[in-house]
Amino acid sequence: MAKRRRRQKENGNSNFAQSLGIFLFFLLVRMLLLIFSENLASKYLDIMGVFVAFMALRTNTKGIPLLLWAWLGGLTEDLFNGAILGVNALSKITIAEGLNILERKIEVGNTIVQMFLAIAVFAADVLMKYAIATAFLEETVSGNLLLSTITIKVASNTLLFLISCAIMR
Amino acid sequence: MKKEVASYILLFLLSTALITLRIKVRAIAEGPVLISTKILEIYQGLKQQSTKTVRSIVEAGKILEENKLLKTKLLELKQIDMINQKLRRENLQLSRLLGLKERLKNIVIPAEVTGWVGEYWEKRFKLNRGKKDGVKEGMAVIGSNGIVGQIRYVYENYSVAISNTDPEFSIHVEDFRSKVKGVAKGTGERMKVDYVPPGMDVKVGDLFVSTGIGGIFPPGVYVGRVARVERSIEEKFLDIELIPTDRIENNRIVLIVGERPVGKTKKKAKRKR
Repeated sequence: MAKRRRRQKENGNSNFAQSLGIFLFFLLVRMLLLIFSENLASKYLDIMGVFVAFMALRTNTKGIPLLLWAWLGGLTEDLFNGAILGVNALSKITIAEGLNILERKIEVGNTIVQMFLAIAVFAADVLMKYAIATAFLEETVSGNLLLSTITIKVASNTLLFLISCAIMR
Repeated sequence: MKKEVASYILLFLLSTALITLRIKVRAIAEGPVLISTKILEIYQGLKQQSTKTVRSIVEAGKILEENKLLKTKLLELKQIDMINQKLRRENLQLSRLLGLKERLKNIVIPAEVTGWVGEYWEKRFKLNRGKKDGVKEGMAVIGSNGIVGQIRYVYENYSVAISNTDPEFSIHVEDFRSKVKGVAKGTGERMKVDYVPPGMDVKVGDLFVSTGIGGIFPPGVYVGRVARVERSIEEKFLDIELIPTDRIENNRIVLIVGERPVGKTKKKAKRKR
């Protein structure tokens, strides 16, 4: 029993170190993009969204740890954007919980499945932010703008997700 | 599963609270803006600095290239300047020789120093004038600043002169200031004046000129300047060391001077009439 607990603790520590490493990697990418292109970093890419998708689909992270990393990623994105604190955090934890539920129902080991799930995650993220903007901030966004935002963000984030999968196998 | 749902609800409420409380708590509203602005400022600064650094490196490379070209150009110009200075000196020497030629009543044959013969310490120089030009053995060789040697060997097209510092060279001289007379001889590097009694008025810096005695060397031409005068009780004569005013190796063009035969002068006088 004690051995099992010790093994679990060791596994937990290594998982935390791996997750921290991945978070720092995406944070570095976010910071580097800021130097070269501010627009690219804020408007067309959602680095922390890609981080959450990567953590859920490519690593063993699930359950409460995934929720916590998603919340941290969301807050970090809010700080970098200078946006309202909590908006990205809310959307990210919702996506993370959705993925938690989905992983219990279907097999997500296949890369193709992961890619389609990532596309769905990024689209859902944009829609959720639109919903928060409408509900909490009383902002209105035109349908065309919403559609174009979804298209661009989904395309660019999916590309970044695939590149990350290739780099961090 | 229950824990997971509870965590989600907790985080959901926390995020919602952050969104709604931004109206009441200024820090929540302004915090992200301030932080993102600060981060942007830092990165803009870094970007500018890196751009400046890259530009400096590129400019430094261009400057180094330009520096290399300028150094080459400077070397070329220095060489041209050296040639110009040499030509200027030569011009000055030639002007002096021309003046000297006009002053002297002797036969004057301009000659070019074409090289030296024998060993380096022998100080013998080849001149491009010989028998066919009227050069004779014993004739004086004069440079732009004084007597530099004497003709020793004469061939058809060239002649060989010994330098004024050659131990075989000697000339009658007198102190330009005190008129003290003696015989100057070469010592290898400099000259010495012999046969000057101890009580004579000779000082360091005095100029010695040719007397013209013997008819070989024209009178009044510079020979050397006194560098050292030593008076010794045991020696019969003063020990006077001269630094030659000119040396054959400093001249490219020299004058070979000889005594004009008496007959020729009369013929010239008749022609004038």
